[in-house]
Amino acid sequence: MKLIDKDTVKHIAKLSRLSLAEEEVELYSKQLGDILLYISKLNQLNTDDVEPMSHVLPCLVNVERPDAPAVSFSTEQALANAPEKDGDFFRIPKVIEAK
Amino acid sequence: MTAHELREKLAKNQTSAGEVLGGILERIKKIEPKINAYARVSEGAAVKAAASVRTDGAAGALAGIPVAVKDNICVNGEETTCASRILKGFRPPYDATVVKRLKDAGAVLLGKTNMDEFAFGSSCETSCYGSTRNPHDTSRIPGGSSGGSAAAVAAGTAVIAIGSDTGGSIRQPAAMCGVVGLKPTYGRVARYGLIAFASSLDQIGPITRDVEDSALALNVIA
Repeated sequence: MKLIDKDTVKHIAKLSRLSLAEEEVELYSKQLGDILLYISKLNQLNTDDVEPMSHVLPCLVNVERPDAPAVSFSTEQALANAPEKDGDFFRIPKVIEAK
Repeated sequence: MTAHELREKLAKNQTSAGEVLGGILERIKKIEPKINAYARVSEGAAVKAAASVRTDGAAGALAGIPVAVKDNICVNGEETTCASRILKGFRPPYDATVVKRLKDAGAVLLGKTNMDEFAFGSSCETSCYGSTRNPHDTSRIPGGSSGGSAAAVAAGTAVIAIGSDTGGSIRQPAAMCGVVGLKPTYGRVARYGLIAFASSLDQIGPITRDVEDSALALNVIA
């Protein structure tokens, strides 16, 4: 049984917007599985006495600017890189379907 | 020449920011076709910056020093693409914190250096601008993903270059190009304006000719 079967590869390819040939699906199925197998070596570690953490360095503190209102972008600046706009709005492909 | 050596010459008025820049731009025209370290050279902006470099007591720590910046770091109004066609034409409306600090310190920004696309690589072969070559042997890779930055410093087409390191992307190309690369301790340098790869690992850092320049650069960007 493959760790990552061909259907999973095809699904991942679709999400990544990649088109794969049949031989590539076969190849990546094996390679992705091998990678997962390699990473699963980490399970050999005994972590019973290790506190869950979000980062190894315990002393990290976010550096923030003061929460004071300041001049930000003009509408023009904010929309400058928009591939499509509609008045003061970004125009994008529909991502929410009405039921 | 190193940044600290240039600083001395500039302070003694033995050269000017414009002259230093002129020399670098000439070198870029001569060598870049063989090395391809740059995604984009911003000659116009650099000339303007060199002209407004202060030489008085208020001169910044990097006043007049030509610096190149990796193409995954945002420079206000200048194309930033991470060496990818996906971001072609993207002009950030703001400067990364690192870039702002470099500008405030009087650095003359030369342009954006080549890299592996979105930093997903260790050889600088995956860029949409083509591979960067190792200046010591152009049949070899410069390393990556900050290959352009390392090659530029090694080839003398930048005095200091800024790169980013997630899993070795400053240190490895610096080693391959025979220059000094530093990955600062995580959290030391702001990531604001760095297009992310792995946010809990990414750090921006300097690539320089020697360790003294590395310290000089880190003091400015950290």
